[in-house]
Amino acid sequence: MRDYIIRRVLLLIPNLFILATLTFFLARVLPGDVALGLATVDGNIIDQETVQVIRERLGLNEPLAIQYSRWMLQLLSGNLGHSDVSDLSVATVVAETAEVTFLLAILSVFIGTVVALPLGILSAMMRGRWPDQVVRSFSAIFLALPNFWVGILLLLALVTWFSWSPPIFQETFLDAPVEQFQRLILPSVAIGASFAAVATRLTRSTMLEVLNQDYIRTARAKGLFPNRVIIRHALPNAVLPVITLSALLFAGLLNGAVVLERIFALPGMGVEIVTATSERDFQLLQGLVLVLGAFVMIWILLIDLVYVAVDKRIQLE
Amino acid sequence: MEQEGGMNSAERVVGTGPFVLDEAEMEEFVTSRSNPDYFLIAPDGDPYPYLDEMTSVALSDVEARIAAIQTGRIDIASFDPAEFAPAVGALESMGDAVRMEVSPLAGINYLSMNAKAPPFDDLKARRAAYLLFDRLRMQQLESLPSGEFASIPTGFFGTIDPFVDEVPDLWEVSKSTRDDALAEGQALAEEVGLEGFTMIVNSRSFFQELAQLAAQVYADSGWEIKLEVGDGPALAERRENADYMVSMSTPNVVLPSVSAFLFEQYLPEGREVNIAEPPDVIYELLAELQAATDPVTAHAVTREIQEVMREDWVPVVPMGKQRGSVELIANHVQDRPGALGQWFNLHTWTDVWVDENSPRK
Repeated sequence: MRDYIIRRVLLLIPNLFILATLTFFLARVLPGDVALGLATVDGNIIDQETVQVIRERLGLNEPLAIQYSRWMLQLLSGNLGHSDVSDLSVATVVAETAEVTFLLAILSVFIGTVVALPLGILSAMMRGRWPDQVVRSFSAIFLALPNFWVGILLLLALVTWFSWSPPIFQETFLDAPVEQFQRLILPSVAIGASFAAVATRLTRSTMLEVLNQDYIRTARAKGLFPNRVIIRHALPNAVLPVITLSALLFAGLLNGAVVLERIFALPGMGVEIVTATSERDFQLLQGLVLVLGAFVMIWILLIDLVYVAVDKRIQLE
Repeated sequence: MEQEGGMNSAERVVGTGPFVLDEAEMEEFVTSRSNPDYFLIAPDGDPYPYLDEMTSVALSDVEARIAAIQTGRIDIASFDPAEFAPAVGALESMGDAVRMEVSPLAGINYLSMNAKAPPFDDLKARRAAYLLFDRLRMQQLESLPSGEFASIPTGFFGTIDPFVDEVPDLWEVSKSTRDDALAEGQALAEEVGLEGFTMIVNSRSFFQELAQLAAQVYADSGWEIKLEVGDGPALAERRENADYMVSMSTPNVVLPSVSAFLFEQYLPEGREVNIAEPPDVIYELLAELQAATDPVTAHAVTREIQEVMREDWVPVVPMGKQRGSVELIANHVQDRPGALGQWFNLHTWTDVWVDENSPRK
């Protein structure tokens, strides 16, 4: 186990190197650079001299190989760099935006899983009867609805019926946990609903498969209570694909809840990456992608370890 | 001003307006407090502004903004032209709880033609594009459902030159000359064999919507406009490399004076790099305009400049006065003097006014 973890952690280094290199060069495929953005007011360049001065100051005039080497040396010294636009350190931007992104991802996955597991089990156990039909219909509906649209509907419904909307000022969870929860709950429910739609169907189908296995029949033949058969014998085996799905969704949410972050004015990492891309803020973009890449890789490693804990048949090789 | 980094310094916001910057977080909020040295005195003898402090919050989504004003999280919500429909809808649903006000923006929108490449290196092609753009039609398309249209702009941290009224022809075409202009434009277009062009436009929704309106206006005159959408730096690179036919600009400028406005909009040393070189006479006329001390002379010189611009130069196609934003103002705010929507125009909150010649200095 220890050797396996060490090996996987060491494997992170070449993976991150490849990610950093790809990010660096792919970012530069985009037309334009940050100097043009900084020297542009309402779509018009102030003047060419300003553009050149900014390019020189940021080292954008130098050959790509030199820019790349400088960035790599900077990374090796543990420095993620500074934003070309705001001059804030990438570490500061990560610290300011990570809380929202992580809380949103955690809350969404939590809501989705809490809804999906019981509904999936219920649907499987009542296969073909009306609760199964209802659950399947709702999961199909929420699967079809875009989650940002669900978010807007939730917002409008709360405004219309309860005259309530989320607080608009961003505060940290430690400073104002209730307000932060209020800000995050609507986008989390919106994401969680679409996730629950998928996870419910997955839970149902794996549950049905497991319920037809010989060992379940044996457990029933032994005279075990139905609830015990489900919880003790069927669920642990049926839950593995749901864990995989939750893990993948969580990893995806770290990068990808941009639309909902925008709608609910949440200053998360997704919005920051989109902004950095449109401003050609390469330093910030590279730093954020690298940090997120590292998070996701570590996350996948943790999931692999959870697999082993849940299912002893899986070997860490 | 120089000590503080100039008017456009991102480090220090320098201005003479009713509010001064207190605290700001990029893309989140800006808190401003009243300027104790503000020069305007209200009709009741008290100094403006009446509000001690205000906070502007960035809520980019229109539904979130509507929800926030409906639930009292914010007192004033500002909506871009592309958001007029939901803003008017919110107004209807809220009844007497809010009032709507149009807050105009400074500047005009214009189409910049690349005079370094065909087809707009030809003065006739530029004149055709200028004359075929039906500004009255544009004004109809841009109006609110009520038909209301923006009037003279007002800055937030400062005010503009009242003489800006002296340049009406820049953004209006009278009904009497409209048909003649369109016919002349059509004839010129046939002469040079022009049936449309490709336009580069910023991907932000506001710009795209304006570009689509412009394309609609040209389509009504029989031209076909193809839009190429890109983000800011990509478009800036294309402009830098003169790799475009037409680009759309929406300057959000303060107008310290008429001459400054004309310099800002038209001179190639300014913001656009690929527009046509002006005839020498334009420099003489602009100098004359700057030296003019009375409105009558300024008006006459302005008309002469516009004549040269239309006939012998045609650097850009003015699309008409820039349409303003709509503001929904909550009931408890609207009756307080000094708290009018125009003071809260987010789009001009960093404007400054430092014109030496203005009587309101």
